[in-house]
Amino acid sequence: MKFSILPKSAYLRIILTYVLFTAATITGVLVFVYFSTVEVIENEVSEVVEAEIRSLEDEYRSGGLTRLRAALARRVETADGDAIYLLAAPNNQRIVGNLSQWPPDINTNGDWTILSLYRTDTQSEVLVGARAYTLGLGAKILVGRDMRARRDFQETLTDAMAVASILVLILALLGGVIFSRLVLRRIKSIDQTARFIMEGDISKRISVTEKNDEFDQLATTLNQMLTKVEDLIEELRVATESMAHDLRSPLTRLRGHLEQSQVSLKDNENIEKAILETDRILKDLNALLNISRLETGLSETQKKEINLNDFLANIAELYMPLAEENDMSLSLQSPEQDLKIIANAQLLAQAISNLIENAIKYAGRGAAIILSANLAENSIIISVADNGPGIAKENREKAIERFVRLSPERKDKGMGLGLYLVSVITKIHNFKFMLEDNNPGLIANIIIPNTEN
Amino acid sequence: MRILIVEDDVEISGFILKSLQQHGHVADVISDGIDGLSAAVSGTYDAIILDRMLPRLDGISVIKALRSEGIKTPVIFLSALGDLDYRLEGLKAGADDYLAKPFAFSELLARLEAVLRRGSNIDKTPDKLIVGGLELDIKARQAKRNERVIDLKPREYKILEYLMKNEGRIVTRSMLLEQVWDYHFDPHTNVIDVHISRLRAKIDQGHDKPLLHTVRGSGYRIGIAS
Repeated sequence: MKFSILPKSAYLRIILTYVLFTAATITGVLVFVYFSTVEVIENEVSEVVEAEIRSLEDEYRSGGLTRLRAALARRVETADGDAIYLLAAPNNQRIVGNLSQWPPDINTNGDWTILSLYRTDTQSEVLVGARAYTLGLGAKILVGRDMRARRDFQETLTDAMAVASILVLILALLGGVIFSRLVLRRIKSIDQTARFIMEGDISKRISVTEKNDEFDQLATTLNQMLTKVEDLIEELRVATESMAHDLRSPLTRLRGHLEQSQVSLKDNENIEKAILETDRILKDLNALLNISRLETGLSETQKKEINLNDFLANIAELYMPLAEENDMSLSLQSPEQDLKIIANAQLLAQAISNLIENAIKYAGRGAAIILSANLAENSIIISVADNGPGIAKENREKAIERFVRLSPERKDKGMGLGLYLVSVITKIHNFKFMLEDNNPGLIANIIIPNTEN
Repeated sequence: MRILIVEDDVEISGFILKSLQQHGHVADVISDGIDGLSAAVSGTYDAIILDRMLPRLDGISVIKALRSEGIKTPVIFLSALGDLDYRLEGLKAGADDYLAKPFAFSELLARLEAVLRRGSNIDKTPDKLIVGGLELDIKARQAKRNERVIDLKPREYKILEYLMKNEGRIVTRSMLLEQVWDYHFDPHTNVIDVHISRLRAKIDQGHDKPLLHTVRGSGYRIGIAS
């Protein structure tokens, strides 16, 4: 319900709420000011009229109608344009005053009444606030004030209020924009940091201002959480590394003992197998340690310019016979122009070799494997594509993780570090690594952003 | 041959020592850098196996000091960490080869033999390598067996050249990968074996005596004796 009324963007929602709230407040204040001001003015007028009547009554009481007439006549003469006086006979006949006739719709009980009257002196219809009384002999007296001034004031007030309202609403809109910008800027900075971290840079932290407000408290808490997570990851890395490291020495000794037995036993087949098995474990442990070390990053001095065409030709040449031996074909498709990239040649070669070995392992007999380099708009893409069974979409991300082997039924050797190593190598180069559908088969892309321009 | 082992891990140095003795070498073990350096300077060794991390003086400094003294004894540099920089650092300081721990002894032995050979005929670069009826003309980049020209691809030629330069000695798969392709990582497949079997087909097919031998658990060797 709420969402159907208010827009979905927090930005617009904040502004709208802000404006609506300000508008409601300003309306309330203006209505109050309007009515209280207008009423006060009217009350004042009515009191003045009341007092005047009292004084005229006093005149009447002390000097009768004659005195009253005289007093009234004097007043009519000296009165400013706003004052209305009328003394009338019981038959409503004017005796003295500046009103042409006794108005028909006024009670003579002294109540404050607003009337529209015709003034004889100004010859105009006017709005008048007046009180009327019956005097002793049936004569009637009316004292009033032209309310035009009040009306004018009322109009001025309404105009001022309208202008003020518009100004306030503009200011409210502006305030809303500034306010929501301020709030959302902080949220955006948190969001951006979170994105950096998701992309793999866990050392990033949310910026904390010196205001020490709720946002800063939130940022501080999140930063503390990130530090904790980072520590845990580091702990895990160190634990894995030291475990692999600690296992290496006894395995090396074991291998040494096996080698020595091999000499004394003159090529025993079981010992040979045991040595091969030990080598496999050592290889995996080394791979694990290498990855662990690589994850700490790569320095610029460890990278060099590589001629990609020669580089890929070298790798393809190494693996072509192996592919053929497995009833597959491996071909190289490189562009006509020379492509140059900056990378660590050993590591990149290892990554591509892992991808080719992976294709040879899983693409199946008769498969065609294509190693290629392509120049895209802002990048160079190295691809290893096959037309084998591929990897189901939902498994592709998982395939890159550490210790993951997608087919447990396959008596696959090794710890499942191959693709993970590729992802680590590409990551420390700031390259992208993606597994995609080759329709049919798998295509592994290493995307190298073009840094030359 | 007389080998100097400078290694502070007693288990590893003991194991290397024992294995070297089994293979007919004489070896001394020293467990710190300074003593290692003075032994290398004063002693007459055919090769030195030198660890990177050593008490008192690290391996890099030992090699640098040795080379600045003009001592050209071949050095195999060992390091516990297979880091990218260590290999280059060691080779730049003057080491002849580099091996990351853990290593198979056969790997160390093969590399030791290779550096020993390089040390002994450093000035001689023969125009022709001959093993049995197999003849490699380095200038013409051509191989013949019993006077018949063998058609080799450039890479096969390089493999054969490296094997023949190390005639009678074991060449491991990783040595081939390093020397022929300049790759310093472990492939997880038998990619080298396939190249070798193709080369073998070209060299040995149709001949009674095979020259290219597989040494189980180690690598390959070219030679008349099987």
